[in-house]
Amino acid sequence: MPRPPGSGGHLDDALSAYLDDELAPAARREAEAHLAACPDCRAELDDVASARHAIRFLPVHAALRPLHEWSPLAVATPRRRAAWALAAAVAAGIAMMLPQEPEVAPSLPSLAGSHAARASITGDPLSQLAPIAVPVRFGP
Amino acid sequence: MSGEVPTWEAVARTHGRFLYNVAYRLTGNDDDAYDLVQEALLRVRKGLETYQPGSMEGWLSRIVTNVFLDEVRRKRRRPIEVMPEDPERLLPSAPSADEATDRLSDEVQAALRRLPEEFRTAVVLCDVVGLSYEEIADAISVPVGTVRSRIHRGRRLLRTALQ
Repeated sequence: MPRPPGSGGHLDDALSAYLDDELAPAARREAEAHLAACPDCRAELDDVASARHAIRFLPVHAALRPLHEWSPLAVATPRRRAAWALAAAVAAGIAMMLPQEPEVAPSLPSLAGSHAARASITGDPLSQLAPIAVPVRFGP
Repeated sequence: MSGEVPTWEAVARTHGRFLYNVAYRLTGNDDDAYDLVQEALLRVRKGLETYQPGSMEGWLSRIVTNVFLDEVRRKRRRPIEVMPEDPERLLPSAPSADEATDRLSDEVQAALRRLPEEFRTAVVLCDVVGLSYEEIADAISVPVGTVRSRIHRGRRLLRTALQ
């Protein structure tokens, strides 16, 4: 309930209620009458009005990515999220320690081709056992 | 909304921006805001908060504020060291027009963050969310007179900090 002004004291928190239009009509009229006669309350009204304005005109602070892109799994308690982060870090550490397997490139046919070409130059006896370039015939 | 509890996905998609902004103004930093929103969405997902038909943003403000105040109480029981101020804030530089606006916002945000949590919560619910005193009193379970007093004292402290 709004405190009645003019009973010896100042408006105090009725000033914020006045700014926020939270005073009943009678209390509002009393507050206005008090303000007209009280420079201290007018100064305090300016102060709280300026703070109120500063907060009300703060820009909307956006999240780094839209919330609807968060997966349901990501909706977890901070503690669980920290555990996930730890698990991911450990997994990344293990992955770094594992020997890197080379990708299969070039493809197998071209490897076979280059092997055959090299074998024909160097006379690699192993390659001569099964010359790739020579078609194999079965039967008589 | 017809009274049924909205899914957390619908809340995140439609009101995510609002929810995150309130969380950021309450906590004062992105990491804590992110955790706060996650916990709020988790409560929505688990159906822990009873949805009352009416203002969706009022309902979400109540949830995110309760999560925030729960966390404040938890930290008070187990106090941890206070994080130092962002050192970059102390570095002077010549601001452009946009930077000057950002800097002003940062100063207001920093002053807001230094308010005691009870005052900060009342000010954010009033001036960021736009709830009435009665709605705030309902959201944080205190009398309307207490809300009025906290908003006024919060604003006076902010004014002093910003002078």
